[in-house]
Amino acid sequence: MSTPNPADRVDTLERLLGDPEDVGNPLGYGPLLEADEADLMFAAGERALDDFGLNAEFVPSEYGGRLRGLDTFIGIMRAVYRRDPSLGLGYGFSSFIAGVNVWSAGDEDQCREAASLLLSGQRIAAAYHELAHGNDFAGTDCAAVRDASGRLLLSGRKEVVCNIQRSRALVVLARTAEGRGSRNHSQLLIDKAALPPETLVDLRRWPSVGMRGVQLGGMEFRDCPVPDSAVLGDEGQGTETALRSFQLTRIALPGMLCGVLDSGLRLAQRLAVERELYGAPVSALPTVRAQLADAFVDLLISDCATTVAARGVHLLTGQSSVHASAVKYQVSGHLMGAMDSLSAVLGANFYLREGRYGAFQKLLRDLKLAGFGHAARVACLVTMLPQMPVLARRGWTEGPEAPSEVFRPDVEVGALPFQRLSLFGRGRDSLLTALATGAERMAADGAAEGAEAAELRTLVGQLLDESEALRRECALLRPSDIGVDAPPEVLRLPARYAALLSASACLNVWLESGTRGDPALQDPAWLIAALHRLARGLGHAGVDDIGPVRERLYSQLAERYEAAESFDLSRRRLPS
Amino acid sequence: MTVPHLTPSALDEHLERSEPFTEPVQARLDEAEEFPAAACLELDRLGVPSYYVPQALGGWLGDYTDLIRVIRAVSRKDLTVAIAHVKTFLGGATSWVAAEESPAGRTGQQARALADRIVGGAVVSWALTEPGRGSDLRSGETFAEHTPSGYRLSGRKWPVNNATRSDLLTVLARTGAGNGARDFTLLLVDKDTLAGDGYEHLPKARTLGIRGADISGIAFDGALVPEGSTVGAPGAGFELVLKAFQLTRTICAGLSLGAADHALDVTWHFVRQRYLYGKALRGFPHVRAKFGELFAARHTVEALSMVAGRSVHALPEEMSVYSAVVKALVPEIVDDVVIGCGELLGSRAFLREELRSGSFQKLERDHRIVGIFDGNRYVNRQSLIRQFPRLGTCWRDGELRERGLHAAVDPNAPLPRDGRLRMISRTGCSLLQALPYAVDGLRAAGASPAAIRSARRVLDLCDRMHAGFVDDDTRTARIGAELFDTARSYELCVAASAVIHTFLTRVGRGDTDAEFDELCLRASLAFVLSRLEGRPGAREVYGAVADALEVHLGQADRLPSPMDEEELRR
Amino acid sequence: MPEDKNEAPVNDLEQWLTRQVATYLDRKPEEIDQHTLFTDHGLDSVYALTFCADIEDFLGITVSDTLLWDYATIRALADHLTELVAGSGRQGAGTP
Repeated sequence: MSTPNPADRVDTLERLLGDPEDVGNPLGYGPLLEADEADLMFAAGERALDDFGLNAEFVPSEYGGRLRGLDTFIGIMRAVYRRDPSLGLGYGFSSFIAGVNVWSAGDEDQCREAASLLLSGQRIAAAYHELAHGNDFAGTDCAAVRDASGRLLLSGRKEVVCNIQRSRALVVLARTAEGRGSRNHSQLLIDKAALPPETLVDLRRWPSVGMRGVQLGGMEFRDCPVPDSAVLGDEGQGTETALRSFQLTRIALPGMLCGVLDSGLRLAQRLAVERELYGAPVSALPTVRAQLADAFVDLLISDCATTVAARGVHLLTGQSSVHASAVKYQVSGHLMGAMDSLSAVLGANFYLREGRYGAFQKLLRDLKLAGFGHAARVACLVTMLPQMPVLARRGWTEGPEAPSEVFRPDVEVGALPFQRLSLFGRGRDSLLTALATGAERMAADGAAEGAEAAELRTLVGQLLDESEALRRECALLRPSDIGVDAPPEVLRLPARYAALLSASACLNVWLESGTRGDPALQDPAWLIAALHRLARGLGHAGVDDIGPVRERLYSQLAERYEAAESFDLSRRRLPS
Repeated sequence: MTVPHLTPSALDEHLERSEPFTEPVQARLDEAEEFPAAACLELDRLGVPSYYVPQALGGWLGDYTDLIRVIRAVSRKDLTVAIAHVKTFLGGATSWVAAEESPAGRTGQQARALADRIVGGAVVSWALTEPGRGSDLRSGETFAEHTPSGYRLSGRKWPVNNATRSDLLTVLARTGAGNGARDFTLLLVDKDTLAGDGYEHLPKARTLGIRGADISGIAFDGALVPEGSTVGAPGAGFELVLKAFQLTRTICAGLSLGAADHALDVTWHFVRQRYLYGKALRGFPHVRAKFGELFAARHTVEALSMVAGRSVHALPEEMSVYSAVVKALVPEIVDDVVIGCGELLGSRAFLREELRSGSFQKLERDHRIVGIFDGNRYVNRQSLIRQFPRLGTCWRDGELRERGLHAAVDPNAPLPRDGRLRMISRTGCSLLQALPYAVDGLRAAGASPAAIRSARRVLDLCDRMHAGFVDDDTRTARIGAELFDTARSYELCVAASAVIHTFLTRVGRGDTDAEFDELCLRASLAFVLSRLEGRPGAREVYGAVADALEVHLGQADRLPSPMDEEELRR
Repeated sequence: MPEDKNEAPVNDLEQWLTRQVATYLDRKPEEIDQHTLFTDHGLDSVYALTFCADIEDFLGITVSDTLLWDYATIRALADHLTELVAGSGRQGAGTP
């Protein structure tokens, strides 16, 4: 059976989900808000995703699923998150996170077992989290120790874990040796049904302010006997496997969450055109147009950054460890900031859980997960920091050059190279160097004209200055500077890096957009606004007057709204 | 019933021990969207409603900073309760303004009667907004037809806080045919006189936060309101509302300060006992710097709120500026403080039943309403922008209401009682116009070179900002987006001036911890500059603040606050 | 918006007032009718209040905050202000 191409699958999924504003749609905002009120998973949504076979998107094609390109995976999941982030997370993203550990470290039997389970519609939970340790997995207490007869016994608790109760299988991160070292943990793929029930105790459910329907539960293991065949990879390889998997998930989650901003922006624009203030539509107010345009730019920056980083996993071998944390950090900031800003456009309507715009507050609450979920923003900075000196001394001045396909979302990448994920970039970073090569190309091609070209030159100039300053400062870092207790000024360095990376992604996507013949993307207005935003965030002046560009972006946004098109790079036609 | 006069600090102590105000109780009510009746009754029992009534009318309200303190004390325990209870002040505010202008005759008598009812525990609501109309009050359709037997009131008011549980409502209605300001009148509607006739309550709205509050509405259908129910004269409605906003928008600062207190308290205590990566979180420099910055943010808006509260009596003619500055800036900054605290709390900010009964996620949701209701950021900034031309000329001319300014910034100075609210300030903003002198006074007051440098930078930015005020840009109907950024900058400068003046006053007294005061000054100015310049400031000062807080707190439970201290000092 | 051509402003003061309103509405002074209510012109209520401050600066007199509410067209306002100025003993309209 041939697999429909990813773009078609997204369209199919969107059609299946239908128009969220349609009051007769059982998968619309009305019903999903009711589920949210009741702290329940959205049952109708889950059934629809069962029909679609969403789990197949989490399984590599070699094991019978549809998972190939990380960017296309993001595109499919984004459609779900556009509708209901709780559905996206609760239905299966947790299965994806768990699965990634299996595909990268598991043997053939383990992969087939996991694939079979997922393809039959069941779930796997990623049981890492313990309340006492948060993101600090090295501190994990839950332990797998061998008894006198050599059996592996699992004891301890996992808490606030998505779907742990209703999942058939778990991937558990367990301590196998004392101490905080990186070889002291293993990952175990365990089938709950195959274990003595008294050794596995469900803990309470943890209700949450956002993602309310998602079942965050816990489990206590009491000398639970785990077969050796449950160990993924080698004993002690658990942390390494997790760090590899995080590269995929720290890119994927922000990528999907772009869908939340897409819907939030749609609701805000809807209010702006439908409501009046002082005798004219709210959308006539310059400050409202500016806020909407800025949120649109935040979405495009986020899409560029996550798309490029996702494609980079395939095309820039071994560089993704730092890209992933950069993108998680940067994009979560853009998405949350933009949604907060849009809440001001909605005014009092933002505060209602009902009514025409009632879905907005749910989206905002669900999005909160972006701040700390799966990796707190500060944890991302801490992850990037140790790589900064090496990149500064080598990666940011030397090749390899990024192939142009990295910046061309229309070109399909191959299967995910699980085995080639590396923990450190080895001093290579083609994405940041692409900022400079992109600048050169821009000057040579003359892709923009007149005033716009001048603005772009100004902005790129500021960003290159920043890049050079960053390189100098990072080159001076000493080993004692780069631990988890680094001072705030030092933690600013990877934050600045993340912004520059996003700028490079935007610039190069734009440069390659000519080959796609997408006139909307080719209009440099969005790039000017994006680079201006990023440059200002870095403390530079930006352009003198962003007003006219913002106005043009607002017009584009308004057009997309009228045409029921998504606000991200794909400009996908949505049901209306 | 005579109840002993209750100071804000005494209220604070009571609430610390009061069962309805404990976090588990409030969490349960929030989950169930149940009204916090027991907590409100407790506030009634303690006499808090007397703070909603001016002294001239038999209440306890004198210095508005005390009302802010009272609201803060309640808010730091529970914002839903505070918002539900303090609404009665909003309901009475227009009557107090009307009575101040016409103390004798019908208006005065009406106000006195209302005052007695409030002191006796009556709940008064303020019914201004209508469905789909937002903040554009002049588009309201509720109409009051004047007949021989009184006013026939028809129309829907929604969403209105306490519409259902109130005993009385102050309703804004059209009495004229046009849509000019003179076509509106306020009516004090006593539900008892309606006897169930001609009105019905509209259902409770489901809200993101303050879930248990009575956010509902009322629909009037020919309700007959007795002759003599107008607040002030017919046609005075709009003017009274605009003046009352100058009071209500200022005291909203108490809600935000309380929310900040609660958030910082939860965060401080969590961070102090949290271990990650094998180390104490409290030792991580970025955590210390973050917390120090959050404290500096609170310190900044606290100083602004203290001065603004006193300005109600000290500089009433300028309240059009202070009320707009406070209402636009303080909730915005505190929303950010709460977000910043959430970053330090991680998953515990997201869970509803962990850490302190999930009180963090509740207060975060509760606080989001403060920036929206009673005049959102947009409306207040628009008001400031409209005042820019006059503010510009007053800055250029260096005008000052010296006596009033002195009373506003010195909590020990006697409060003048002879001023009147004006709808638009004619003398600009004395607090800001005095900034050059205050900056000059810093050296003699022992401020560090760093603080003085920061103050001079603020002054420089402030000067350049005012130069742009005389342009025509501010006089157009469609205000450009950049002007809203300028308005925010203006607010930050006013806040900086409040911080500097408050510092000078404290140093002048000589009985405070000078070193800590200077550190707070430096940190606040760094915070203001970081916002004005759009870049993160130098972090060392924030770390130093966190260090000092460790010392200060020691065995004490609560983070130091100048506003609290001032009150205890009296 | 009346179709017939607007009357020319009666005096300098009325001309000045008309220009102010034109600036606010981003239109030409000739398009502004002196007999249209300020609220029908679309002046928001806060602008009406701050307009008073401009008038005070222009004429060098003090006026009530609610001036534009009580004299609600350019013509009515100009007439009233002319009286006020005459009563205060100052010269006619002129830029300070």
